[in-house]
Amino acid sequence: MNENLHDELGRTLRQRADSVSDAPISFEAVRGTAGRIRNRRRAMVAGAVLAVGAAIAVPTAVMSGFGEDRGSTPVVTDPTPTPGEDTTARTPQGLTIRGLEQGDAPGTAWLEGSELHVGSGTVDLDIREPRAVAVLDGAWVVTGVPASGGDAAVYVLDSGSREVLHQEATHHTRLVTNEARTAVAWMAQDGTPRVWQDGLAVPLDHPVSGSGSNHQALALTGERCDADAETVEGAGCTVFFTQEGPRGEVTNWTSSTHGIVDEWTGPFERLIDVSGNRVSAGFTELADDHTCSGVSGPDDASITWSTCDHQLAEFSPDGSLLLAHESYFDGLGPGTITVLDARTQEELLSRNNHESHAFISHAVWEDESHVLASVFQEGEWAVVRIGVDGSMELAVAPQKGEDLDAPFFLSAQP
Amino acid sequence: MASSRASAKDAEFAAWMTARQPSLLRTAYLLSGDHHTAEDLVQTTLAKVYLSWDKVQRREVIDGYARRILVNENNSMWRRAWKKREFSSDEIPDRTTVSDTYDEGHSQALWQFVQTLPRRQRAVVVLRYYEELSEAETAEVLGVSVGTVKSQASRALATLRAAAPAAGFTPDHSGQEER
Repeated sequence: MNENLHDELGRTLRQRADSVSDAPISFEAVRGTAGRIRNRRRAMVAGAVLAVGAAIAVPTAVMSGFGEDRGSTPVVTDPTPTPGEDTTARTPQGLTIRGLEQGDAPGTAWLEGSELHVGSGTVDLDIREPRAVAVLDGAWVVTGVPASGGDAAVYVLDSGSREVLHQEATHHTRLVTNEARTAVAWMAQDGTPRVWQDGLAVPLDHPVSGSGSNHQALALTGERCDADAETVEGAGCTVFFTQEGPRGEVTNWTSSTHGIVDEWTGPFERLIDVSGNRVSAGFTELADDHTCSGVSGPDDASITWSTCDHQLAEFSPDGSLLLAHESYFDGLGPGTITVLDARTQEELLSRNNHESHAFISHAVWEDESHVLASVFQEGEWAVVRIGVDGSMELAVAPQKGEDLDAPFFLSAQP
Repeated sequence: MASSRASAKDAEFAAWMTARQPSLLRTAYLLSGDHHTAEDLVQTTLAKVYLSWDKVQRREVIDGYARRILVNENNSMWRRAWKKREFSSDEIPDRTTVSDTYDEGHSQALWQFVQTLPRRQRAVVVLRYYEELSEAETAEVLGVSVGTVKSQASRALATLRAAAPAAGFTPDHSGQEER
């Protein structure tokens, strides 16, 4: 065999490929798979935001700066070791659940099966399939299906874990809270944005316009959602939400306590997140094999910066940092966690799964400088805490599980 | 109106899918090394193309689009390491049932070495030497730079050359690493 290896390779591969017998896949089978993929994407989108946050959304981002007080920006430690520093204690640089120290439990509420963990306590929920949790001052909000069956609902529990109210909702609705954590919003089954604040006997329905499906709440801004802005100065809230048309086209909407519903006119194909100071993040391009996303200032029709290297995911609580993932991921979820400076786009931290093949069901900000991620690796799920300073530890120890059945659902800071 | 548009879309997609399915299956098999996995990859790829059919305005790019989804999906599936181990029980009979009468087993040996390559190197080899894509086209499919394609191909060929003597064949070393 004195032939060029290139030619030999080509011939070998062609011969091998020719040995493959066709087993035609039917159009019906493909369409069925497409339906399952569509449902899974929606589920992942809903799970990714799961919790709280005026500025949460799936691939979301929030950004800060833009004229706000930069003095409030958290100090971000340079993860580069200083000379003489002991780096042996540093955790692996990749994304993994192996070899990590056990740290404190998540500083935010999280769901595990039918248990709601909050603080040092655990509450057994009489709800099936709890999927999202948000924390308000003095109340917890959870989505799930009634134990007796029926449609998905949003449950509001007081600090004694007693049910305050429950209301129907879309199966994969997100829960978004305002920055002050006084109110929560979600989408009702008919696409109505619904807002609840402590003291209300029933939630308030915000106005909606147009028809469509797969409505998703993205953000809730403002305070005193229960008050009429016409009579109380500074009162009123705005819900940002998306709606899909019959061909999958997305329309971004804002709906306010004042009774006004408007199509959001910002520069993004699909809005991802809106911060408390109304800085927005969204997709500039969304395809099956790549995405591009960017950031825009408050009420700004232009894009401040954009990237096709990362998919923006969520602003930090003060909006100064952005959680992001790789530009393209599918199926199991992202395998990279990146933190960007929301103003400068500078990459401050990145951990990927190139060595571990771990992946993330979702990740949220725990506080101004830590991210919590629900991570799957080699048949086990764990919650990992990743610090912007480069630290990494376990927040919830690994437990056996299926890759498509994440057991943890974390709430995030708004 | 909407239903007639949907049925026209379905008919158009079904025709494309019927024509492209055998080719996609062959590439999927070379990427995965396993017939069942290849069929799963193709079914998922076709489903994703179907979901995006309305978004792709230029029909001439659809084949490349499908190929990119196929490679990405293979990478995604590959990440399920523990699932992969389940698949491995299928791989052994699949490999042994294919006879290599055309070159006295050399091709079989080379194929086995190809299957030991890291997934990205293997994808580069399949796209460059089976699909006969250019370096730029391969880079586009994989979403990497041309330089990465060159380095990955170079490493793959070096690995195969190093393994060649043990397999009883001696490929020509005069060829350049990359065309």
